[in-house]
Amino acid sequence: MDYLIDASGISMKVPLPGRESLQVVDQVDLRIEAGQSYSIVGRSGSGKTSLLSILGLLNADYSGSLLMSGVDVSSLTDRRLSVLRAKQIGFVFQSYSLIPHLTALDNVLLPCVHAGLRRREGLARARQALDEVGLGDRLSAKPAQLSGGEQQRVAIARAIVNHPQVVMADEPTGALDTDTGDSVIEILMERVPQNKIALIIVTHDADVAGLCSQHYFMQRGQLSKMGSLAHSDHVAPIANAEGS
Amino acid sequence: MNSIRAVFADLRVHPGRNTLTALSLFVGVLAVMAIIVTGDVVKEVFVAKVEQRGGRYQTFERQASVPMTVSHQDLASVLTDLPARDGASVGCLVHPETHVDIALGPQSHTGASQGTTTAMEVFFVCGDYREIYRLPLSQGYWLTPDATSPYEVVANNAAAGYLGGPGTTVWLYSSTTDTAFPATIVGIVNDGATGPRLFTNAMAWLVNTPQLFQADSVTLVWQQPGIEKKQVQRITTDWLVDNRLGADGEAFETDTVIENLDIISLVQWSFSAVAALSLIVAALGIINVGLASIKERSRELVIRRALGATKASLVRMIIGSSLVLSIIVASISAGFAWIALIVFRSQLPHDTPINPPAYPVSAAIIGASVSVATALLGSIIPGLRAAKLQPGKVLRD
Repeated sequence: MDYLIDASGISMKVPLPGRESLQVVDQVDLRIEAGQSYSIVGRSGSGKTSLLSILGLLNADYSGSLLMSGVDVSSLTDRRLSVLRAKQIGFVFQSYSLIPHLTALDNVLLPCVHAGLRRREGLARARQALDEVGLGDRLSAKPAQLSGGEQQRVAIARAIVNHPQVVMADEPTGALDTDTGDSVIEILMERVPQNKIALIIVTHDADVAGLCSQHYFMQRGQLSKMGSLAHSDHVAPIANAEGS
Repeated sequence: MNSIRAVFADLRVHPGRNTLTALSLFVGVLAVMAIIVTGDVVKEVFVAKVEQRGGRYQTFERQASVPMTVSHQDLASVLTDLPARDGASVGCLVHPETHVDIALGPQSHTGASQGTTTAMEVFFVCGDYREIYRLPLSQGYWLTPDATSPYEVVANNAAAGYLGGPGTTVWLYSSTTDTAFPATIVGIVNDGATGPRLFTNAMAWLVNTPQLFQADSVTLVWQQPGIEKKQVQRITTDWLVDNRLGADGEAFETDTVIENLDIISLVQWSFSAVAALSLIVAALGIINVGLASIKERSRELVIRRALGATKASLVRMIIGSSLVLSIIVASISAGFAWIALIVFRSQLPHDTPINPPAYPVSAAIIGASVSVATALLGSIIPGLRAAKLQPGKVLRD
């Protein structure tokens, strides 16, 4: 069976001052399927974000095997990787990462432009995506004119506008209050069964992690599966890790 | 299409900065064009002044005495048939034995007080005299080259100040006759001289009024680019001997354009050096702004990379927007220079000896090239830097 993402033995080191290097991802195996949601929890510096950057084709400095829909991405050119990012992967970042001088509509339009869509089609998709996240009336607002929750919803619209197979969210609620964070997660979670996407969430928030169907814990670059979590179960490893 | 749209959208990102960049390019391009045009105009003014006095490049004079045995009729006939050669302009100046003066009334010179004017030089000319010296007309027309035509005189600006403009009748007299002879001012020329001068057709006087003066000598004026002095000497000697005129002296070159061209070239090179230096400074400034801009925009560029922008598309966007800006600026500069030139030409005096400057096509090409080159220089390095940005940084910042 072809997984959306099939990662085997993924490792990554980052150089430190001097001759030393730090193993930030260590022999990670992970398989991502459509229609599933995955949480990756772990303390700061455990390697969650580094792993996400590898899985999202944002970082090529790794060893191991990474297949996307059966295709070995290590052999792809920058152009092919960029097209894959534009078409098959949606990103939601903690700090929203909207381009400040573009309107909400233009921000959401960006992945369509990079995917090579005609402008008319891209605009239609962008409008629809913003409509789906409840911002159909804020098309021409710039990020500075939007609240934090609204900005994150624009970021979600941008992540789903090209109907990607995988959406990767890095601390999507990290900068939001609880209620706003809940509504943002709700929007993301709805897409999983609705659009048959795979959702990978890197989070510190145990409640957010608990909403996912599969749970992973990361510590010192190593990823381990945690099985089905009850609310009380999934708090513990994070709390332990934070405390260690 | 998306790339073009991205380029224009990129120009709108920082309108203030782009406007300032465009303005500095605009000033730089215009400065280059202005310096080149100024150099050309300065050269043209200098050459015009020199040519007004000494004739166009290359002008030779040859003095010839007029023997008593040569009648005025014969002399007129000889001067009507000046030596001809392809590419040569040949004229003459007839020198009276006695001074010819001017009065505003028909009185003779003896005891005349009414209407007598200040001492003026009267030039009895023939042939291509006006073509050899730059004598632009500000009013009226030049002398009719016909011995049977009515007596005509052309005044220079100083003489016209005393005598009046076209239509004024003046009277020529000399010590050889009690009679003053009328002539009509038909034009005013700018000959660059400060003293009053009148030009008149030597043939008309030699044929119709021989009593006004006795011709003493003739100056043959020969202008032909590329000709050598010895050739002029030989041709004029043959002609003078054939026509029984005294081939006494040697031909000598009177124009001094070449002698002064080195100085003019030095001035032009100095202007060009200043232009080049200012352009280098402008280009460095623009490169600096470009690099600072990329540093400031690195977050945006990383986001674009994460969302699927290729390295090439970022480079295209950054270089493309600079190029578009530079092409717009170059076009505006060229148009502005064209309008400025029209205004400049309209402000030139009617009787200017200089040829109105033509549109500086070469300067426009240089300016546009410099604009585009500066934009390229200012954007290639930032563009390559942008291409090196790691998209993974989007998760770290």
